[in-house]
This record gives sequence, structure tokens and C-alpha cells, in this order.
Amino acid sequence: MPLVDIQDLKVSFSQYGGEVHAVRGVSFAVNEGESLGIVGESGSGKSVSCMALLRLLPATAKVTGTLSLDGTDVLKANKEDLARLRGRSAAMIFQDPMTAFDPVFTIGHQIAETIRAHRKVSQREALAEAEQLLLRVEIKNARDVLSYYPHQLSGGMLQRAMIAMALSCRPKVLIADEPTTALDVTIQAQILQLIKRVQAEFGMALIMITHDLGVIAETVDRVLVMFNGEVMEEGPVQQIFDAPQHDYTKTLLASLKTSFTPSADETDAAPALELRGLTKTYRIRRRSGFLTSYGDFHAVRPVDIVLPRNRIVGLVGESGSGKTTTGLMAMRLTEPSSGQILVDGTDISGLGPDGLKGFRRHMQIVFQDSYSALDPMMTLAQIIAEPLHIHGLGTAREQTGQALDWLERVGLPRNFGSRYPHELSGGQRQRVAIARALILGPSVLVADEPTSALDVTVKAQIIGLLKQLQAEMGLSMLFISHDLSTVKSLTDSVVVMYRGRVVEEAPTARIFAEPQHPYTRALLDAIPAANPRDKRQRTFLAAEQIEAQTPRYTVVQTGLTPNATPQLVTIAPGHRVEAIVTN
Amino acid sequence: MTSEAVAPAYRQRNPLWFAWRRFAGNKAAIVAGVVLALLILMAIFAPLITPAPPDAQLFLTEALAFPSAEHWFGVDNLGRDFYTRIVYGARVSLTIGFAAAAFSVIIGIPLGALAGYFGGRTDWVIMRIIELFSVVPPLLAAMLLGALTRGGYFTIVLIAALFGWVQVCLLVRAQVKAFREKEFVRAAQALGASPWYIIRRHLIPNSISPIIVGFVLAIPLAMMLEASLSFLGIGVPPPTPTWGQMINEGIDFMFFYWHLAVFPTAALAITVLATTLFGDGLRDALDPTLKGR
Amino acid sequence: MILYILRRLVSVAVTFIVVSLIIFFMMHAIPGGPFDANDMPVSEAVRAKLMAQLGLDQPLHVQYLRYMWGVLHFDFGVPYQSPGETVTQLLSRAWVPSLVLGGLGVIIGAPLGILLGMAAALNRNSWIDYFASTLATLGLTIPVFVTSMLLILVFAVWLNWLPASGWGKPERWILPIVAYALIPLATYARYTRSAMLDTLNRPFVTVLRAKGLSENRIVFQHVLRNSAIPLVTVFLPMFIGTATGSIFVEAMFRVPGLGAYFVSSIEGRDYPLEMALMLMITFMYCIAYLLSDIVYALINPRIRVGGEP
Repeated sequence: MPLVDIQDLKVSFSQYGGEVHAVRGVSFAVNEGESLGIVGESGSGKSVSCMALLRLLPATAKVTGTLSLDGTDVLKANKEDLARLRGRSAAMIFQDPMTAFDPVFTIGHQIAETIRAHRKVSQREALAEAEQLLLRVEIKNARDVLSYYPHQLSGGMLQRAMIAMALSCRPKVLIADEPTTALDVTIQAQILQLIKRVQAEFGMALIMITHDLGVIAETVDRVLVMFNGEVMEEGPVQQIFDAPQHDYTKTLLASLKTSFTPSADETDAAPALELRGLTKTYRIRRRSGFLTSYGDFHAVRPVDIVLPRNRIVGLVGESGSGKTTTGLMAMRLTEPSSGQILVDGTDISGLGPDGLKGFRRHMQIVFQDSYSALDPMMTLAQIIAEPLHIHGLGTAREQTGQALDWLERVGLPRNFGSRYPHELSGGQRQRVAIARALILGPSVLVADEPTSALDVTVKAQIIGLLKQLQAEMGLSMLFISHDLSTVKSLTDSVVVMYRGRVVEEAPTARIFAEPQHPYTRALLDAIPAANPRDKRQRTFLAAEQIEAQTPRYTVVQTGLTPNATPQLVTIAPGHRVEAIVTN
Repeated sequence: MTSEAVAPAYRQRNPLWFAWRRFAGNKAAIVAGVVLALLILMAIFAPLITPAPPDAQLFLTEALAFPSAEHWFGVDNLGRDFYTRIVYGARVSLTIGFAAAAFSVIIGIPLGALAGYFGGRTDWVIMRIIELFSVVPPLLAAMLLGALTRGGYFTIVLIAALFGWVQVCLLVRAQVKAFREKEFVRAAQALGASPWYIIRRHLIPNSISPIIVGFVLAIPLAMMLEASLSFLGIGVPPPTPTWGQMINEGIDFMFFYWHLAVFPTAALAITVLATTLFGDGLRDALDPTLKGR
Repeated sequence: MILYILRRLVSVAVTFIVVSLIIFFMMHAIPGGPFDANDMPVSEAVRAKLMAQLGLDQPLHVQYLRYMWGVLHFDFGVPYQSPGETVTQLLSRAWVPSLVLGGLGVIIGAPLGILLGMAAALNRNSWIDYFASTLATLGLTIPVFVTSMLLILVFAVWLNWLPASGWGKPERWILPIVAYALIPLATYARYTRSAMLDTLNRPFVTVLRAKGLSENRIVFQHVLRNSAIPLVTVFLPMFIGTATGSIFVEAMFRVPGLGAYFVSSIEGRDYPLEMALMLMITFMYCIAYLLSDIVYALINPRIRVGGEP
């Protein structure tokens, strides 16, 4: 008797202008102790299926089929049975830990109430148990965390707390709905490892819902591939990866594979964009009692980055590394605290708005959030033509004509010109954003995580588009990303940032083959395996350990004077590492 | 404009079209809108639908008569046909309402946009001004101002605008603040657009919904203010008929000649109700969180 | 936290001073004084003497300063319309009816409104919801003098159950209290409903259900706490607004409260009374907003316990 047994599940929502069939006849089963992965892109129905299992869908949803959990028919269950099923038979953890907790109660209270909802224990005992659970999910200062409010913890810590909360009633199956999508890559690896460990320790079954095949490879035994509300393929994980049957599965896997073609060779000397000694410091006010003290937060310590002509440079780092701030400073959308920005040799860091306007034509930017990147009240043609309008180039008719030309160039039909942004998918909107950025023919394009919010297959398409346009236009591109695997297939060289400074810089192939800095190594290590064969246990470095492991080079090797503070050292052509120079 | 719109199914839907669809589903708002339209038409065509001019004391012999077939709302204490006075009263109330709302919007939009876009000191100053206006109870201050200027049509419009702009300003400010961080604003900045261009081209069009809502909801406030001031004797001076005045006079006669108090009260209540329901319906329909879906 | 309160206090004090200046100068700009020939015919000599006695012949800014000095000592002067007592005495006499009727109105209306709003939010699109929403809308849009008039007509004139004039024996209080209660009821019903609906749509509520908590617990512990925040901030200003007496209700029901005196003070150019009333009410609103801000900061953990561990 399987723990979870779903037969012919159908879910539809009634919405404006008809019904939306989110799930169309899905069947699967999970036995005790098993781990099943459900992989699919957005709109595939994977989350909806599992929410239906616990009857967590809103009242507007129509659910049919047979859902059996822990021997109970879910759809026919009464209130008491349902309360028992939720939390005791199955527990669920969600994608965004920050919105998953009630902001007005402490973490300890919320875990304790889960415990007390299912068992008769006193508040004190429940809190003690909560503390133990927090320790088991590797939160060291568990006692303190009990009295913290959700907004006081980071995303990674909150996710651990959510796992602790889910475990509090010893559920038989843990359902994890994209638990790591909102987290940094190194944290993601830690959380995935944690989930596997607690699964084994508590003897639970696991249902892992994700769009990321790497996560699947790392964590599950069996896979269910979903698309558009239906199951495309099902099977043991190794088989799915080695011998996929369905076309869709093959497309998904193909986007994992990265092929790299370097950009055309260009021996032009002057770099298109150069950042020298760029810094950004924020003043923060700290209040203690009656006194207000001011502290400095160094978001970006001096960075030097060179973007050669007709090249793509990747700027990689996790949250807090300063990469986005650097990108924004390069565009002067954020004012640098100090340093120079040289575009084609001219320093634009001190220019006023009028002087800057001329340079704006040469540098453009594409953002991550494609939805808020386009004005919802303007048509696509107006959006793409806007740069021409702002700089007064051509008549209105000419501007529209050019805009429509660009629409085609980024792969959308010409007649889309009169549509509005909300009618497009994420990938299509991003294409429009790219068209708008390139219509003025800039020489430099800064791309700030343009694919992070997109589905896996769409991601590959957009990257392909960028590569193509870069080659056609001879663009120099600064590609900012937190994801090393995206960067691998696109960039010529990579700059790795950590806590506001550059810690390593090298041609892409070298970064992946011979990383020197411990942080770069940690980033590479954290990337989920591309194949279940390659999954492994990882050890994680804390910040102090990363510092302790800063590479050391001698005076002889580097030709520099000894210095206790780490600095950037060139150890090979085009390869710099932050290191300490010793005698 | 040059695109051939080979449009299947649902294409080319301006976000406002969705708002219209939502609005159309709100029965109360539709009814309110129809009532409002009727009232406006009545006010415009007043001379055509009433038997006599409003000031003419033609029926002194029948003063205080109850409603009848001849005098639909009866006759007031000075021998004037009451129905006529009520209809002309609509003119006063509606014009004051719309004019005041228009002024509120004219003052509120720029201040709200400035406060929302520039933040910092500009915002601080504007918020202090708003705070000043919020702690003084509007009715009392209006009474003071009314006494100062001895009422009069235009002053009442100004006074009503003076207390109505705050709401519009806050709505616009909130919307501009929310949209300012959106990436299409950043993109425009990256293109070298000036703040004025961005406010004009991007932020104000995206603030249409709070502007419309603010405008429509300012109307009943202004009408109530006028009615209150007239009720207290410092509004629009007689003999111009206003509902507030008529209510004031009618109360004295209320126990015996109920029609003198009830009709103007009902007229005012219905108008205020219709405008508020219409405004609420607009607000629900234009709610940006429901856009496009 | 303490610093936040101090800063708000200063801000409120500044606002108050500015408002008092404006009111003062505005009032003295109203043409006509208390001794206009029409209202109180006295000879020129007597008039001059009275003006001097009341200090009305001094330059305005001097009058202002003398006045504010008095205010700090709770001395608002003597009202022209009843020179036998000080303004302070008159106000303390007049405030009682307003406070009692208005206060009771809020105290009764607000909880009823909250209950109604909760019922509406929890039973979305049912008849309770429609009933509550309609009641709320009507209560807010129908002017208070209309409801007063309706109450009088229905209960006093036609049905003759209750007396129509409002002050004296407690049974006279019923109608005015009902008239007063309608606004807090409608306001709270509306706010509660929308705040609860907002909260119910937030992701953490799904998580709470997924944990197996009972629906009761979810609503009363979590949803209510989260929805309460906007409700609390609205309470004090509303209470002040109602407890200072509505001009209309007091006129309709012939209650000798603050509202009635305000009207008479304007009609009679009674500077001391007018000024005192405006200042007092403004001051109370300032305090009300200040307290609301403080309570909000206390309830909302994000402000109370800010920042990283």
C-alpha cells in the first residue's frame, strides 16, 4: 500500500474568460522511504498537484480524482482527519521562507504551535523540542533563534527553520516545493544536503518539486516529468538522465548541457569599458539608546574590471557580493563613491546629466525582472521606440518602423507591435527588453541577471539570442549572474566577486578547470551535479575558513612586495587571484 | 500604427480594458453610474423639466402644500415649487462637487508626483503640509473659512478643494513611490531621460487609477461640505437653492411638513450614495493588483 | 524607540504651534468684532473701554503671545456669550454630553463593526458578506444628519417610541448614540473586512493550514493579529472625531455639547470660545495621531525589533 497514491488527478480553476486546466489527469505513487522528484517548468502543474494532496488549494479550484495519503481518502476526509494528515502524515515546505512565516510571531512560537497542534504537550516542552529541532537543522544559536522574528533571519536560516517546523511532527512524507529556488547557490547546496540527511534520519519519504534538473540529480531516486498539466515521462533517475524517451525530457536535458563557442577574435587595444577603483559605501545609522552612531557599509570595495571590445565578461557572485551594484555604477544608475568609469577611454564618472546623455547611447542595460522592466501602459512598439524618442532620432514613423524591425530581430512577429506587456510570457518580455536596449546600437551592454527568473528552456533561448546579437553587433557585454553554469556557455572570461571585492578573474575555461581562490572553488563545488552519477557529499566552508585559505604566493613568484592584506595578483596571462604575498 | 492587427482572440487589450470588464461585473456600481448620469442630465436640462423658475414665489396661496399631482414635491414656505428647487439644487451641488474635485486633482497630482518621485526633503516638506491639514478637523476649519469669507459660490469650491487635495495627493504619492523602483523607470533613466520626462511619460499614466478614484471620491466630500456649510447658514447665500439650505430650513418644519426636510435630504443622500458607489466600483475595477487577470 | 517617540513629539508640537498661529490670525481676520453695531449696540466710549479691557486693541502678535501664555496655564479667557464663567469652565460643562454620547457611540459601534467585518471576510460572497458591505457603505455615505433625521422621523415622530431630544434622562440618549455609532460601525466593518481578506490571501496562511492547525486557531490567533494593525491605528483619531461631538447630531437632537457651542461661537464671533475649541480639538487630534503611531510601532515587530541579530 503506497504512502501516497494519486490516480487521475484533475484540477481546474475558473478564471476570467473561462477555465484553466492546471492538472489534466496525473497519476503517481510514492512508497514509504522513497524519494520522488517532480520536475517541470512554470505552469506544468507540479505544485498544484501536491497542494491538492493536502487540500490546500483555494475554493475556486475544482479537484477530481482519487487522492490517497497514509491510507486516507483525502477528498472525502473530514476536518479532524484533514488536520491529522496535514503536518503528521505529510508536511510541506515552500519556496519563499520569508513569506511563509507569520511576521508577528516568533519562530519558536510558530514551531511550538505546530507541535502542540498534534500532540498534547505544554508550551515549555514544545519550545524545548523546537530548540532541539533547530539544532538538528544546523542552526547553532538555536536558543536565541527561538525568540527571533522572521524578518530578523536570512533566507537560508529561515529555510532551515521551516524544515525544522515541518519535521516537528515526524511526518511520513516531506513535500518540498522548490525549496532552494530563492537561495544562493552555496546555501542551496547546503539545504539540499540537509534535506537528504533528515530524510534518512527520520525515515521519511520525499517529494521534491523543482524546475532544476541538477537538484533532481542530487536528491531523488525516481523522477516524474510534467508539462502543461500532464505527465510526460516517469522512471528511475539514472534512466531519465541517460536515456530519456520523451521529446520534452530531451529538451530539458539539452538545456543542461553547455557548449561553448568563444567570440570572434579581436585584437583591438582599447577596452570598451573599464572600471578603475570603483567603490560604493553606504552610511548606516545605528541606534543604541539615545545615541546615534554612523557606520560605513562597504558594498563595493575598490574593484578594477576591464571589458575588452567584442567580448563577453561574466561577473559572478552571490547576494551581497556587490555585483549588481557594480553593474549599476558602471551605468551610473547608482553614483559611485569613488573611482573612474572609462567608456571608450573617456571617464564618465564625473559628468553631469547633459554630458552623460550622449554617452547613454553607447551603454545600455537589461534587467532581471522582465515584468517590471516594461511600462505596462505602453505598447511594445512604443517601448522599443522609446530610446529613439528620448534622443530625438528620426520621425515618429521612422521610429516605429525601426522598432518593428527590432521586434523581428529578437524573434517576435511584427504584428506584436500593438500588444501590451502583460500579454507576453517572461521570455518574450525579456526579448523586448533586449530590443529596447540595443536599438540605439550601443557598444556596451550590461546584462543584470537577465535569465534568472526564466524557465530552463527559455533561459537557453535567451542566452542563444544574446550570443547571436553580440556576434552580429560586435557588442561588449558584461553579464552579471549568480549562476556559474549559465556563465559557462556564454562568456569569454569570468570575474568572481565576494563581499564587495574581486577575488578571482580568468578566462572561462581556466576558471572551471583550475580555480585558485577558495571561494571560487566553493561556488563551483556547490553547483548541482549534471548527472546522478556525479552526486556527492560536500563540505562547506564558513567565511572564516575562506579567509584562512586565501592562497599565498611568494615574492619570487609574483615580483611584488610582501603584504599582509590580500591583493590581486597575476599568476598567469589573464588570470588574477586575490592572494597574500609572503616572503 | 503601421502594424496590421491580425488579431486572434484577445489581443490588443490595454490594461484599462480589463478594468472596464471588472467594472461591468459590479452591479451596484453600474446602477450608481446610471443614477449619476441621470442626475447630471437633470441638472443640465433643469429649465426644461421644471414648471417654473426656482426663485419665483408663485404659489404663495398654496404655501407649505404637500406633494400633489400638480406640485410633485409640494410647495415650500415661500410659495416656491419645491420640485423645481430640488432640481436646481442639483446644479449647485453637482457643479460644486465636480469643480472642487477638479481643483483637488490639479493640486494633488503634482504634489503627489513630486513627493513620490523625489522623496527625501521634498517628500518630508509635503508630508508636513499634509499633516497640518489632517489634524485640523475639516468641517470646523471650513466653517471658520466660510465665516471669514461670508460664503459664496467660488469660495466654497476653493474650501472644498483645500480639504480634498490631500487624499488625491496621498494616493498619487503612494502609486508613484511604488512604481519608481520598477525597472522600466530605471531603464528610462539609463536612456538618459530627465526626471520630468519620466514623471510625465511613465509615472502619471500609470497613476491613472488613483487619479480617477481620487477625483470621483472627492466629489461627495465636496458636496457634503457644501451641504454642511449651507446647513449652518454660511454656505451659498439664498435665494440660490442648495440642498443644504433647504434641509436647514426644512428641519424647523419637520414635525408637521415633513416634505420640506425629506426631499432635499433624500436628494443629497442619493447623490452622495451614487457617487460613492460609482467611485468604489471604479476603485475595485482599477485595482492594480488585479491587472490583466 | 524612545528616540522615535521624542521625534514625533517634537513634530506634533511644531504642527500644533503652526496651526494655532494660522487659526488665531484667521479668526482675527474675520470682519466684525463682538461689538458690532448690529449685534450689541453700545456707545463708542463704552465700546473702546470694553475692547481695551479685553485686550483687543493691542497689535495682533502681542495678543497671540498673551493668549498662548494663558493657554499654557489652561486659561482660555472668558467667552463672550456667557461672561459669567471662564471658557475652561464652559468647555468642561459642554464636553460632557459630547463625550458621553459620542464615546458610547464609538464604544458600541466599533466592536460591532469588527464582528460584522470578520463575519463578512470569513463568509466571502455569502449573504452575510453582502449585508455587511451594504451596511458599511450606507453608513459611510449617508450623511449623519440624514440618519439622524431618519431616526427622529421613524422612532420619534411616527412610531413615537423614543424621545427626540437628546440630553437629560438616559432614554433620551438612545437615538443620538445610534446615530453616532453608525460611522464607527461602518468604518470598522469595512476596514476589518478588507484587512482580513488581505491577510487571508497571504502565503503564510497556506503554510499554517499545511501545518494542520485548526481553522479557528488560524483565524483568531494569526489572521486577527495581522489584521489588527491597521485597525488599531484608526481607532484613536476616530474616537476623537466622534467624542468631540458632531455638529449635526447635536443640532438635530438639541444636545448642548461642543458642536453646538462651536456653531454659536462662530455665529457670535466669540473669539475666546472659538479659539479654545479649535485649539483643543486640534491638540487632541495631534495626540491621537501620535499615540497611534506609537502603538503601531509597538505592535509591529518589524519596527519594535528591527535589524539583524
